[in-house]
Amino acid sequence: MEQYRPETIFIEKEAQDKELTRVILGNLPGVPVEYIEDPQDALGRVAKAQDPISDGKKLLLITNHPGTFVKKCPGTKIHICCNYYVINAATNCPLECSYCALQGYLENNPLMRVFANTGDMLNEITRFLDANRERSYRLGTGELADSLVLDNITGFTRDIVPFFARQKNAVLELKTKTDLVDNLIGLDHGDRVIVSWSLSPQRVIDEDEAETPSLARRLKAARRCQDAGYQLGFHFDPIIIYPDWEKEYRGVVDQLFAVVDPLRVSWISLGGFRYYPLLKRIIRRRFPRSKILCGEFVPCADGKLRYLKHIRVEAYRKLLDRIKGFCPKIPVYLCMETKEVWERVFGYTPDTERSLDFLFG
Amino acid sequence: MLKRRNPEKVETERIDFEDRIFSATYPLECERIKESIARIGLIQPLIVRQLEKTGKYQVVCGLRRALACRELGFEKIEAMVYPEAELSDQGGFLLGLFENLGHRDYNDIERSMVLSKLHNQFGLDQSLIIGEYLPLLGLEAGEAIFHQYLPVIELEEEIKEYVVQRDLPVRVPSRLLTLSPEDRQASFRLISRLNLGVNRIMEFLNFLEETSQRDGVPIKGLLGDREIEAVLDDEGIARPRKVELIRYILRKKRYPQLTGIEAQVEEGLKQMHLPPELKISPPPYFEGDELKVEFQFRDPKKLKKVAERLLELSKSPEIKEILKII
Ligand code: SF4
Repeated sequence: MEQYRPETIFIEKEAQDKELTRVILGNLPGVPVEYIEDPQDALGRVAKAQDPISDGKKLLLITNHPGTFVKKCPGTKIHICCNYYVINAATNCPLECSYCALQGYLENNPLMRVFANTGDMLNEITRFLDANRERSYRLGTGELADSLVLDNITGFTRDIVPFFARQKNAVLELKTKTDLVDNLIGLDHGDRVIVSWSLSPQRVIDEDEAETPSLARRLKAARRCQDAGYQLGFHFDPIIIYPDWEKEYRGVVDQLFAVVDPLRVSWISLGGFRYYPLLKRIIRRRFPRSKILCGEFVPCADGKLRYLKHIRVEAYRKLLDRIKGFCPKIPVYLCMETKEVWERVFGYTPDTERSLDFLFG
Repeated sequence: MLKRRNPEKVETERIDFEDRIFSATYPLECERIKESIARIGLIQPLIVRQLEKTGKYQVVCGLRRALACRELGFEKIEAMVYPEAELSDQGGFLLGLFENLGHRDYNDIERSMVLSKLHNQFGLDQSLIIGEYLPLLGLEAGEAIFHQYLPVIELEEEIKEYVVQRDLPVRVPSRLLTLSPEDRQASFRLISRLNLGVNRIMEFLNFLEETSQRDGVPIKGLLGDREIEAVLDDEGIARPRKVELIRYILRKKRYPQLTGIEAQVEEGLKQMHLPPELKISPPPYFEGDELKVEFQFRDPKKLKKVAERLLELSKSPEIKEILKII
């Protein structure tokens, strides 16, 4: 897939002398650079545009993260929590999935942002892990961005992967839809890094995941990571329901296990497409041809819309069966689902604390 | 700055009423103005431009008043006349615009007309229109707003008239514009026949568009459904009931599984023949696996009766069936 190339790079004053800034500029020769005092200067360029979300993706802002990098994954009280922590090393993504929740979260702040104070971030993670040495953590960088989509220009994984290789009580998940794994090959990962892919049938990729690599390319990249000794993860999330969904999702599972070794898969998650009502307006405007909103969605207690429970349960059961047919031991979990749905799909509910720690042992 | 002219009387027949270059008035209907002019005469003179070649007058400001005067049979109308050399096309349009802004609000169709003229007819730069003219028209300065309003003027006359008459917000015409002309016509027929409010319009359009997109059937085809036509044509059904029935049909098409389960549960509940003081309901949208029981009683005897009925129900196959369905 093509390397991301912004139209303009904005560099905030405090980020000017950072190593990451130097690396990015070195990897993007010829891209106009503007030094700014205030991110608003860059935001002003897109705020009044017809489609600030598209225009924002073309502008890269290098800045320092002012707050905390590590946050608990924003689960809710009503859902079973997978006890996951997110590291916000960057926000936004140049790819164009119609359903991407970032469109809503970042509608008023739609620039591509990379945080240059990597040192502060690594120190914060160390402090966080040191504070609870007896506990094990799963952390990931793929919440407010794709973990690898900018890696060719930031080289970020060259810092974070060896860093996690040295940790005793944590694993890092790099979640992506890309095939940009060149930087990962040959790094010391100490078996502490899981590279994971979001998978969809090729039809969904063609219709609703614009700019992303094909399923075959994602799986090829996964295989390269497997060969480089990484553990792998896969996310059937969002699952989209359409007339042929069952056959096509089954096909994806079959293709997956034709390429990767089930024993090298640390986890697989399942999650039906869900969205806040605000996203509907954005999808309609930005992707008028997408059929993704045509499913039978109903409002749920957390304010999001989800496929009718009966549809979700059926989809999860069918996918679970197929996956378990290849390897009954692979940990499979549901993302942002209620106790009731868990029970119907797995026949049990995760333990008292509503957390899935037991699955990831 | 343009010099103020003294008003003079111009011959009505030399005014070119078809020339709308300066007009941003919609609709041009002039009954009320006619009434007022008939009573007290024309208080405010027109502003016109005289063309060099033909000597004809173009109305810069006051087209509605001019039409009213003509209908009232005025042979001459008082107007401030500017020669063509003194007033450019754009200058004339802006003069009319500022003059109107001083004493009235523009409706959304007129706003669209103003934007379209500034942009397409006078070639003003988009960023200038957004920065300067949108706020003048009472709109937020933004590209998205500009693009939302700009095409509204392209709508069919009957739809524009309806939008103004019913004072519908711009999201309605701009939503209709996303449909093909045939689908728009069919949707508009339904909207106007049922005299739908804004929320219902948006809800019906959602049902229709999403069903149409999912099934690959045009909206026109969906609305050609016999069941819908029968409801629309039935003169014995009152309008609010028609709205309800058509909503039911459209929702069933849009959510076949959800409405199917709703119907099964409803049927199951019906089979139980519950007394009026006892109500059982499924969780909203079936998110959850518990049924809710509500009851009312006035004296201990009634409570006992309800409790006995509940005990009976707990053993009934119907309740098991409903629990299975949800
Ligand atoms: S890859 Fe992920 S972050 Fe990027 S657009 Fe798609 S859903 Fe959003």
